[in-house]
Amino acid sequence: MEQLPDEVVQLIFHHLHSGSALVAGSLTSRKFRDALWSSDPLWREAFDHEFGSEARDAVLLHGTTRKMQTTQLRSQAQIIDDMVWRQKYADHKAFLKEVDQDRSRRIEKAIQQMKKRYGPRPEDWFNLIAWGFLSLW
Amino acid sequence: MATPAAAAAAPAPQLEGDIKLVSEDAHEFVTPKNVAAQCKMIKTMLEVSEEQEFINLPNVKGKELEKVIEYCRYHVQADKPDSGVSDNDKKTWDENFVKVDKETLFNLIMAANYLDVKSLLDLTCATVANMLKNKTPEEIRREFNIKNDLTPEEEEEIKRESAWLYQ
Repeated sequence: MEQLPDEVVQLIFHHLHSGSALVAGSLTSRKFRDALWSSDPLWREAFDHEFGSEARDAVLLHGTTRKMQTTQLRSQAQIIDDMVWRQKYADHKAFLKEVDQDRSRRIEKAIQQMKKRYGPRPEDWFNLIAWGFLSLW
Repeated sequence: MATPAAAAAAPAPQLEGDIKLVSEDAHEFVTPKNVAAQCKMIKTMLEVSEEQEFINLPNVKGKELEKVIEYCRYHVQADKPDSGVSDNDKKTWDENFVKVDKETLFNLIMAANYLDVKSLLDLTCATVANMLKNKTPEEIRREFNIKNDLTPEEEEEIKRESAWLYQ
C-alpha cells in the first residue's frame, strides 16, 4: 500500500467519509500523514460527517477568528467549539434546532469543554458586573 | 461500497476494429477498440492516431492488464441500455471481480490509475477502504505491512491536531 501515489491514498480514504479513519490513517506512517493532511476536500468531508454541513456553513460564515484564516478544514475544525460557543450566545435554540440529536449532544459536550477551558468570555464578565451594579443601584 | 458500474457508463467512442495492447512483460492482448477506449489514456492515444496497430503499456503487467480488459469488456456490454443487466447484477459482478489477493488488488489500483479507468479505480479503492474500516493505526500497519516511521512527537502532534474528533 505504501507504493501507492498520494492521490490514490487520498481516494481510498475518501471512500471512508470518516474523520476518525483519517486520523487513524495519518497515524499509520509519515507518507500517509503527508498524503492525508495535504487534502482539503478529505477533511471537509470528514468535518461534515462529524458535525454536519450546517456547522461547516456556520464556521465559514463566521470565519473571522485567527485560525479561520487557514484553508485547512483540519484547522478550521479545531475552532468549531469556538464557533459553537458564539452560537450558544447568539442563537442557541435556533442553532441546535438545525442539527440532529446526536450532533446536538456532541455540540453540547464541546460547549461544556469550552466552558471548562476558557471560562466565561470577557463581555460576559462585563455584563455580569453591569447587572450586579444595576441591581445594587 | 460505491457502485462504480454507473460511472462506467460513459458513452463508447465510435471506434471500430481491434487494437493490440502490449503489457510491460510483453503479453499481448488483441482487444476491440471500443473496449480498450474505456481506459481514458488509451482512448486519447486512439484519438490521436486511429491507424496504430498496437499500444505499449510499460507500467502494467499482463496479469493486471488482462483483468482491466475483462472489466472494461463486461461494462461495455452490461452498460448498454438494452443489455438487460440490472444495476444489482453489475454490483454483484463488480464485488466478485475484486475478490482477489491484496497484491493483485493494489496492482489493479495502480493499473486503473495509470490507464485512467475511473470506475475501476473507484471500485478498487472502495474495496481497500472497506478493509480499513474501524481499524486502529496499528491494525492498518499490520494488515498492509506498513512500517511506522513517525516519531512519538509526530504522533502526538497528529493527535493534538485531531482532538476535535474525540470531543
